[in-house]
Amino acid sequence: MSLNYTAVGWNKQKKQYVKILWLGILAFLIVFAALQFLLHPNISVETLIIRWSAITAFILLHIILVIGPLCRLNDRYLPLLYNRRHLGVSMFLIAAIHGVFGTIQFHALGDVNPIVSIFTSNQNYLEISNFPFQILGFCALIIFFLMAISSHDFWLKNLSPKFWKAMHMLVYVAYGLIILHVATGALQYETHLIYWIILIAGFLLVASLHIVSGIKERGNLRKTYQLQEEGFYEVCSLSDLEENCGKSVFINAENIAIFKYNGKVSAVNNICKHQMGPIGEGKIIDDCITCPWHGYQYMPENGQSPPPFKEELSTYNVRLLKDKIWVNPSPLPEGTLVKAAKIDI
Amino acid sequence: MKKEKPFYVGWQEEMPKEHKSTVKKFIILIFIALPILAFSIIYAQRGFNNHQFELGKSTELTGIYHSSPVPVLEVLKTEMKPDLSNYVMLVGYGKLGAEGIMEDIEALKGDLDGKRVTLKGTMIYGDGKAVLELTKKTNSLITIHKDVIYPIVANKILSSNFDNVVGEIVDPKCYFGVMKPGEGKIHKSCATRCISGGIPPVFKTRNFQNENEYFILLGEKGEKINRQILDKIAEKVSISGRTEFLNGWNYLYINPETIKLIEE
Amino acid sequence: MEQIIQIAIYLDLGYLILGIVFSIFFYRKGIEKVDEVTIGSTRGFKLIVFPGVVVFWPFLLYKWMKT
Repeated sequence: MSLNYTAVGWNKQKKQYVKILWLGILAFLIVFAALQFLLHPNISVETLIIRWSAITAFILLHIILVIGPLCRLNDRYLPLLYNRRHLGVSMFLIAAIHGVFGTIQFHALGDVNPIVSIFTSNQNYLEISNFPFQILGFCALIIFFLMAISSHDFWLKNLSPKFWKAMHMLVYVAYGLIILHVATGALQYETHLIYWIILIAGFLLVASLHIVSGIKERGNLRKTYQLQEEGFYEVCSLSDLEENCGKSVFINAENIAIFKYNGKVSAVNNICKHQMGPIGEGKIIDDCITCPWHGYQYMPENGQSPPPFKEELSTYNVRLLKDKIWVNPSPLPEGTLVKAAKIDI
Repeated sequence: MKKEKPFYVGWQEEMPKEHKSTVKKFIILIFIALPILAFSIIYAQRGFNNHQFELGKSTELTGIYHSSPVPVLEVLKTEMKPDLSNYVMLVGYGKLGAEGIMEDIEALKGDLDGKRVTLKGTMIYGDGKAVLELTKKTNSLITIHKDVIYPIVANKILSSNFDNVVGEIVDPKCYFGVMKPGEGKIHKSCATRCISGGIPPVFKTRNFQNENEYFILLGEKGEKINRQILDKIAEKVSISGRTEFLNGWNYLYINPETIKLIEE
Repeated sequence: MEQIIQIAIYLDLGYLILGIVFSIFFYRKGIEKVDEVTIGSTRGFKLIVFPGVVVFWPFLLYKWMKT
């Protein structure tokens, strides 16, 4: 949604976000190193770097994964979502430090290529506690790499949103790989119970937030609407909608957002063209529907982004009968002008 | 009029104050949780030994070179720190043994076995043992001293038998100082690489006094068995064989096929 | 095993080298045809999408061919 691309579309919020993020990463490095040298003065610098980068990337990955469900449960967390890609790229960079250092330390300068060594130095593929855990981390790092290099909106558009989203959903595969990487690697040497508690607690936190937000979302989708006439369904009363706000409805597998504004009611597809954000949870700003996730905008009557932007949503026919809103869930071609239903006062 | 629900738009300069306060709480929570997490993780670590690797610091050692069973430099006791053995094992740069380097040097300078030489390298030491990394490869040889040839097998002692002793195979280069930890699962791949690269495998076990004992592993006829034991490294194993003390190191002559993995 | 991985590494390297060669032509001509929003975009942008061009080049080539 930009006129032409820049490397990073900086604004005040984004600067603050990145500043806090890297201050946090740096502060954690200082605290971590100080505690290590205090409690374990014999630690080597290489081990310190490997462990710091591992734990930092692991924590960042958890933060990244809880932001999505938190936002679905409470939209006050949305500012964390908007610049999440910076979290992701930072996490990848730190995970890459871990990967590169680990590979040099444990696999380089030997009698075979270090990458070959990762795959061949331990071949107990059928055992759990002896499993070659480095391979799991290696695969996860490849996924993080693909996500990091495709984080610019250019890629979202040019790899197609569907492929892009699917590729970025691999983060859950990577998360699983990382959990196993830690369980079959570090935790086979460092055997204190606290490590298992932290690992499992982190997993339970991520999993439970996803389940709770999923249940909430499903509740919204479950509602069924009665067919009335001429393909129109009654969805709600006018009073259910706040001025300039939307509502998401799910009819015949169509995900529809209905908006009330300026004494009118319009309906467009509920899935944002950018990253499939929930349009219906957005708001009308400057006469445009604004997606709550990344602020993409569409005009309510024709679903088109205001020029010069080119995104278009499907539109739907809407009727008003007394104070009831009726919607026809057959989508019209993207960007089709549909006269808004006027509210009689 | 009803108060409008605050709405967040990322590309605007400011966020609504309701969002700001929620995000602030989230960040504060993380900043409180992180030091606690860091402390618990670090506190629970197994800890590290005090072995040393003098990375970047070059040391010259003069002594008698023994090429077999494994390359060792016998240094004057007075030249070494009092708590370190004066029989310094030689290893190569990276994850390689010293044999290739010494052979290259001998190809240029002639046989060095039993001769007094000065070698330059990086010191690795811990738990009474000393290892010298020939960091500069063939340039590690500084001087060949022209004096009498000394007898090589001066301090061989009687051999004894070793029956099902439990311990772990480590690579001495990492274990005695280069890496922390230089043993166990995390280090397994590295130890495999090092031993595959020609660094003599060392069997680490505990004696009755609960001190560590180290044995360089060789085949029953004194041959190298690095390749045959690669899948037994960094595991809990039991080993049987015949031991011998030679040139400051314990040797253990075994049939590699009899090494048993112990399930935990 | 060792050989299979060695071959896989060479194949990946070859793929990435092709990507680098592709990127030279892509930055000269293709990028503006594939996505006209890139017209007038900054150098920083071109730098930041470079690793992606090297990795995802078949997608871009396909899109370029279609225009």
